[in-house]
Amino acid sequence: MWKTGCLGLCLALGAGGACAEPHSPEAMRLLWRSAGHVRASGVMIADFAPVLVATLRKNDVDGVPGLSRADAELQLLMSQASTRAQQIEHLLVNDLDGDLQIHRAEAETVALIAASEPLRSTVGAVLPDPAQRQAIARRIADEVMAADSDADGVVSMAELYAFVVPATVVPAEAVAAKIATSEVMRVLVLADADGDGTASPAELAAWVHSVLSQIDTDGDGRLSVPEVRAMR
Amino acid sequence: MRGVGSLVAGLAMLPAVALAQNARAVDLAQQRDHVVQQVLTGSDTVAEARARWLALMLADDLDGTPGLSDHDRLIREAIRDAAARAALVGQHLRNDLDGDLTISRDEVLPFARSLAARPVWAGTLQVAPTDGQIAEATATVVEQLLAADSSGDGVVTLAEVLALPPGDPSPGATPWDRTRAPFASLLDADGDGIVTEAEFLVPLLAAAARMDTNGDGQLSRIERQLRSNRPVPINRQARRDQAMLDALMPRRGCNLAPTLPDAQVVAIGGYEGAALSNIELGRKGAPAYVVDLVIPPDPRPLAVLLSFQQPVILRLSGAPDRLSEIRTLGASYALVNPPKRPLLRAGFAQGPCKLNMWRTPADGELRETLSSWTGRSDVVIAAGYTIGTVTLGADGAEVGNTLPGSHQPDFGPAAMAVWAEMLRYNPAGLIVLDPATVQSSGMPKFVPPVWPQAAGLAQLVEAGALTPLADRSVQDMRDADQYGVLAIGELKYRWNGGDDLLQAGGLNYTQESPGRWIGRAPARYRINQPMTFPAGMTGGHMAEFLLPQGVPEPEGDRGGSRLRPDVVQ
Repeated sequence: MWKTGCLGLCLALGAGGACAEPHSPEAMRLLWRSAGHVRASGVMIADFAPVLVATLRKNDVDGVPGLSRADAELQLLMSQASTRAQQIEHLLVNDLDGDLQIHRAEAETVALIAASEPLRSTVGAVLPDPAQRQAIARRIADEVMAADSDADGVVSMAELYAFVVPATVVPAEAVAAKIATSEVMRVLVLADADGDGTASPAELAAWVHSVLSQIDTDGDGRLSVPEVRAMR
Repeated sequence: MRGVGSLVAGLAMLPAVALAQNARAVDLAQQRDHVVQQVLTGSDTVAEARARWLALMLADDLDGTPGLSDHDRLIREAIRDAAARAALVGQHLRNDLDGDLTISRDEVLPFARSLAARPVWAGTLQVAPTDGQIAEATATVVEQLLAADSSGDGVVTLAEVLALPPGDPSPGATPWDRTRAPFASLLDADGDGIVTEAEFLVPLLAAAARMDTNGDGQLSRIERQLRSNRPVPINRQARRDQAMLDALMPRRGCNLAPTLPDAQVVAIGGYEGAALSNIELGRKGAPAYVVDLVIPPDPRPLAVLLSFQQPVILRLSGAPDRLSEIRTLGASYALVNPPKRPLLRAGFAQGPCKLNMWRTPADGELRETLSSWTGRSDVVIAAGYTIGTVTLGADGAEVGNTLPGSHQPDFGPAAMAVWAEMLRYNPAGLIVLDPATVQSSGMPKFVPPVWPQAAGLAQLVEAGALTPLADRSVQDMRDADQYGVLAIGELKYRWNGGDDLLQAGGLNYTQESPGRWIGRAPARYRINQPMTFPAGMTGGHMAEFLLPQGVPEPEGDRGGSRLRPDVVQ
């Protein structure tokens, strides 16, 4: 009982699986960091519980109130899109004329900046000479132009996209595992009281409240410093 | 009223513009001086500082013609704009869940819901939003994310995104979106619109000339300190500088002439002894090492000068009664099998007589120093990093790295692995001495419950008090896998990546970059029961200890080692 309670608290505070142990110092540290105002004078469970519930509800992305498997699936899609966008952004800085295409000359011009770094040598920093600088810049540009699948010297948006997507898609066999270990599914296991596959906002609130009530050993509705410390 | 207001504003604008321009020039000048200072304090030589400084210019020189021109500035601006544009596209594509490069209302909703639901800070308290607030905030975020939809069809395309005015590049996404030398415009001395290399170098070389006071092209830390008035960091360079200064200063007040003029003088020194002992010497309790001195019969008395960084126990054999005096220029010492007659002099040498002897024995400077301190040209020198046995001859000495009597433990494999680690530092092993036989002349000596350093760790592992958690493998800190070696003429360069620029055939890394540090990851142990830390757990001997709940903190000094709560168990 205790164990599930504290695990849930850790999840709510964003600790992921770092604190499977209910009394672990890791869980305590996270509690202090996330809820620093507990430190001074304690905190009312009535105030604190809704904050933790809101932290959980930021995972509720599918528009149907409550956490369910659909949320976990949608979050996986979102994280893939985000990684994809970052990688495209990283490559698109080479598009100097804004035509959404990367020409080799553009990539080499941008690469010249990185190629101007002094070389670290056994006799201290040494400046690359023009030929070395060109060679290094070409090499850096090669990495960008690796996306040029038809080798016409221009990376089009379609090529860029095709280059980036395979690296960001979670393989089909890993999807199930990713979803199973997601925060949503782990909260769902603990908080879905009626077992209908959805942790409704009311169920989430009830669950967080029960966890916090267990920490509140003297039952006065306030988490005091000694009580939180006693978890250790 | 309105007319008067704009008139006043117009009047005020002229000096304001001039002031702003002036302020910018002052800012740039300060920035220039700051960067000059940074480059100089980060370099050991003027040549190196020159390379670092010119690299700033090179990073802005992008048009293929030497010198910084307006054309270079335009390319720089284009790169910055491209980075800002890429950030805009990146933000757009974040929400492109189906990968068609456009975003619709359905695609932005999940992100908006997630953003709207999280608790907000109200003063020092976090507050949960109500359902109504969440709905309202979701709608606002969706509206913002779809604001670029100029066609009003509910879908934002890439073209619509690119029509937006670009903002700032994402922080950290592009390290090259800002010019490295914004102050370059100040350096165009002849005003022809092109900053040449010579013009760019002016402020650096001027500052370097002020700093390199002796004009040897070296920016030694001492010179830099004189300039910046900051404390010298204690490191190799500072020690080199100190040695240089010491060499220039006459050595006064160190008189090590032997009391008996006909005595044979032998100087024995190193970093530590080849063998560890079970005894700690000194008030703080430092591990003592064992060194053997084999003295052949000879009519001359013997004066010994010791210079070790760590306490040593000198075991005398052969004709110990020849020893007439012994003085140490380094750490403390004790004797085993001392001469029967009292020594004429013993203990720490008085005066400024500190001397590191663990350099090469043939070091001419060392011989010169010892000659001037003792007034003798025939000092026998026995020096090395670790010293085991010194076998004295008539006019020389043989130095060995071994000595008899090492303890042979009967440990299990886990403890023997730790014991092997001790042998890396102390090739002659550990010698168990009876403290009653060790004469330490008033220096506190005691036998701790565990042996020092890795020998003690091996004991504790064998006893079950410690469980080793990681391999004690030597970790090569040179990152040989990450760096290639690039050979250009006589010089070898390191840089990351670049297979095609690697010199063919492969290079022996140690030879190419001598003196690079090879370290070892500190070994980790879990503490199982009450115990005492071994002595000397500092420097290369440091380890990391995990203390599980319920096990009391060990006694003794853990040196530089780390003690952490065991959160895994």
